[in-house]
Amino acid sequence: MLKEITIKNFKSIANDTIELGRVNVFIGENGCGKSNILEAVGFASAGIENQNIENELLISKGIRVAKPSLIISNFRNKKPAHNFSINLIFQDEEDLNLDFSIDNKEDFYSDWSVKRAELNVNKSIVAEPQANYDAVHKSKESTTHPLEKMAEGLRKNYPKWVLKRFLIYALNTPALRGFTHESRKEPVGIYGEGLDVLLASFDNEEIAKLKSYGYLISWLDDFFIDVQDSLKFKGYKPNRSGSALYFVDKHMPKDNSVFSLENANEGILHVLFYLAVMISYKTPQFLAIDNIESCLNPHLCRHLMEEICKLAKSQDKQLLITTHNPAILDGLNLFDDEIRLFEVNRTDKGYTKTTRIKVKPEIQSEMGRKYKLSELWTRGFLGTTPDYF
Amino acid sequence: MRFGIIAEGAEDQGVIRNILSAFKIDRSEIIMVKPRLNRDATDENNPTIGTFQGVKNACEGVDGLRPDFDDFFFNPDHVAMIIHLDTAEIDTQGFPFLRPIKKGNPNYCTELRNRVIELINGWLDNNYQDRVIYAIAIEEIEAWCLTLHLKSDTSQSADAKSKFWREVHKKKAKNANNLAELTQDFRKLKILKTCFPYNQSLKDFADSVEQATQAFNS
Repeated sequence: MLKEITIKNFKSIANDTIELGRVNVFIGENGCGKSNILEAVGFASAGIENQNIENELLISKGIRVAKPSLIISNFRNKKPAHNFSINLIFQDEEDLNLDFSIDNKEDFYSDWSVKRAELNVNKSIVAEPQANYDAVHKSKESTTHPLEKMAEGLRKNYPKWVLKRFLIYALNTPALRGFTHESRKEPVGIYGEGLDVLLASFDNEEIAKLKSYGYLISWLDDFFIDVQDSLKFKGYKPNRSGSALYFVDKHMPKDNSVFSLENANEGILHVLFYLAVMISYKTPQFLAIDNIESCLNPHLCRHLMEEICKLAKSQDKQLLITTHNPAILDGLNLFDDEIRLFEVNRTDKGYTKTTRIKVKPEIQSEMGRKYKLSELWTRGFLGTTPDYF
Repeated sequence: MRFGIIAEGAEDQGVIRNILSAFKIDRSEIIMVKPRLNRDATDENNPTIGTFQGVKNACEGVDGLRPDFDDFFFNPDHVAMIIHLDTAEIDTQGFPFLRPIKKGNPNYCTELRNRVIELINGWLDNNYQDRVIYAIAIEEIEAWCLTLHLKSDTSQSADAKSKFWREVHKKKAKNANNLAELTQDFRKLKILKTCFPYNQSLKDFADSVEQATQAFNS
């Protein structure tokens, strides 16, 4: 897991360090820089192996690309920087610093250059990963069994492999319904494309787990994938959706209770997507969800969040989530150190600043009753309300 | 370290925020407590919200509970609550209040401020005293703002509010309707200190902020 990230000179983030848990929820005013945090992780993900990064790779990860002069921090009264950097500390105490620069800040078509420096456990800087690895392990090599060496290599590289697969999901309904195909990411697109294909790839255990959440949608009897896509020839997809996902409504007569996702409500598509991504072993282990509350009823938000926290643990996933819906917060147990809530603010100078929201230990018994997080937020005590209204 | 502000209005909160900035308290360390957020739009006709009465209601709470205070301190980083009141309208709020004698009294501001602090502490049933910073503007917050323009005792001014706006319009200042924008100079400690001789209640508030930040930082 990624334990800590320090971002310098990236978009609205001048210099910010965030100590992450397993499930990390970010709240704040519109434009405070929540999504910039996710995108900084996205850049780190793209830069973990590549020396040069093209916009195409960034876009595929869910990053809003812009002119480089807007991606490198750009503040009034502050000397403009020429690069931005991201420092990562993984759970095994390994540090990795990524420095991103570009030849011409005005040229949108330039590739980003990445310089990597690893800092080992005792924090001494070594130039490149391979050189570092050789220097540290050279003396060991003659005595270590090859299998042990391989295991050590896997262990060492695993967190980076997880980071490399990081994606930012920002669902939109047309993509979920199979009308648009902007993202070609596999196994599912970052906007919700290809949910049916992912579900079709589920084994029995995964399907059973997913179907155990059917109670979240009160009308849902079942869902299935029309693998042959034959129902479309019977008029079930008049809007020409590319998806073969169908639902069965428990309140309709059995001989006429099936409909395609073209006609399903948006909520079920979002819920199904999130649960599928959490349950699947093929989806990224480290992922972000931007605006998780979209299309969801507040009660569903809360319960879904509770279940996502449980799934994150059981499926060994790490999440970064942004939200504007207070109900999401009521699904978080802040006394669990793996579940963290952050408020994101802009300082007087406009810098994004992230602060973990802590709760006094002595009021644990009153949390959720006297101190409901959703109410604390709507009443302004989480410090993220606009100034003038 | 975070501070809450309960004020009569958003503009007052903006002025106070500028003063806090002089003591290196950033926007991100300030929570604008808005008693009006306890209500929804259906209650917008309630005239007591966001006014002197709104501050009084927040301090008094209901049945011994003061959600605006109790809930604010749920977070250990939330160290103090700033309570703002203008004294100008204090006699018209429907409760007895004895002002000190003004004429020829060099301690008028200090005495009036102390009486308002006593009043607030009474509303709070003497709770939270070690966590409250009193922003008592004599007679109104525009008198504080006026010190940026006029170098005479603005708390003695008959109508500081009108004088302040006259000064603003005379100078054709930008953002001429936004008190927080018009008092940006309070963010510079050097300038703020030059204003102290012209309004004792401004100085008293600034001094208490300085003391509090020193105490919390030590």
